[in-house]
Amino acid sequence: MVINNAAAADRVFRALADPTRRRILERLARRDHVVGELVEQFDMSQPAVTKHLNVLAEARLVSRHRRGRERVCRLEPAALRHSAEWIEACRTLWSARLDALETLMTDIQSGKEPSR
Amino acid sequence: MSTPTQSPPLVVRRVIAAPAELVFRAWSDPAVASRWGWGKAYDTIALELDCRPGGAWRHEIRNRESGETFWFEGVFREVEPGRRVVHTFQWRSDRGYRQDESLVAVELLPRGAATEVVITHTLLPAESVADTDTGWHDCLEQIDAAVRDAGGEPR
Repeated sequence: MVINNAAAADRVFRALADPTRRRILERLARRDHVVGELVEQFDMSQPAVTKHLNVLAEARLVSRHRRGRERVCRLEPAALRHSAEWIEACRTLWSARLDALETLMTDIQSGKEPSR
Repeated sequence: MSTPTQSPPLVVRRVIAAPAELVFRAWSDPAVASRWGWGKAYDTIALELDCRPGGAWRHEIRNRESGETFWFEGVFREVEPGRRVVHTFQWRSDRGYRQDESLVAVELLPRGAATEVVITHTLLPAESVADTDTGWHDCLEQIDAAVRDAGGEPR
């Protein structure tokens, strides 16, 4: 149950919660982009795009590298693993919880008293 | 749930051989809830439960092997007796692990004499998203596919 990467997963989910950021990721999934290209494609101001990129970078979904005078943005798919792990950890948690519910309901209906 | 959500919904279903009124008491009635644990690996140490909109719940549980203590807690947002419960959910442990607030919706669907329990667990939406927008899963799938195509390692 220990969800080691909960905070990381949380950052990923929050980053993915915004439609513009998801579209940025989709673009980056195809190839690296320089910031200027993203500004053009999304018809947004550079600060607005940078703000989204900062959120994505904090979630480690995107890395930025210098290439000459430009900054290249790259998708970092490893971060997506955290979100997958969060889902798996929660699934395990609820599965155990429902096992316990099943047992409890059987006990109650068969008149078994609390074991304590 | 019909509400589209941009956070990743986790849905877990189980048919329980008990009527919905009884199953519901596992959420609402402290006498029943105190007997309902989080699996064989955990002992329930303490439980607080105030099952009404705005009321709080809190479970203190301890891992039998490691001794790690967890506090699971939240606030009820919707309560429809015998049918539906929505509550927030967050946890922390005495070893510094924590999970920020998320949202759990529980629906109880009659299935003859039994009840199907449907648990939908989502992180709280940070911002609202238009219904027509690419969903979270689509986004992940596209990224995953693109990375695979590029010969990268998606996991």
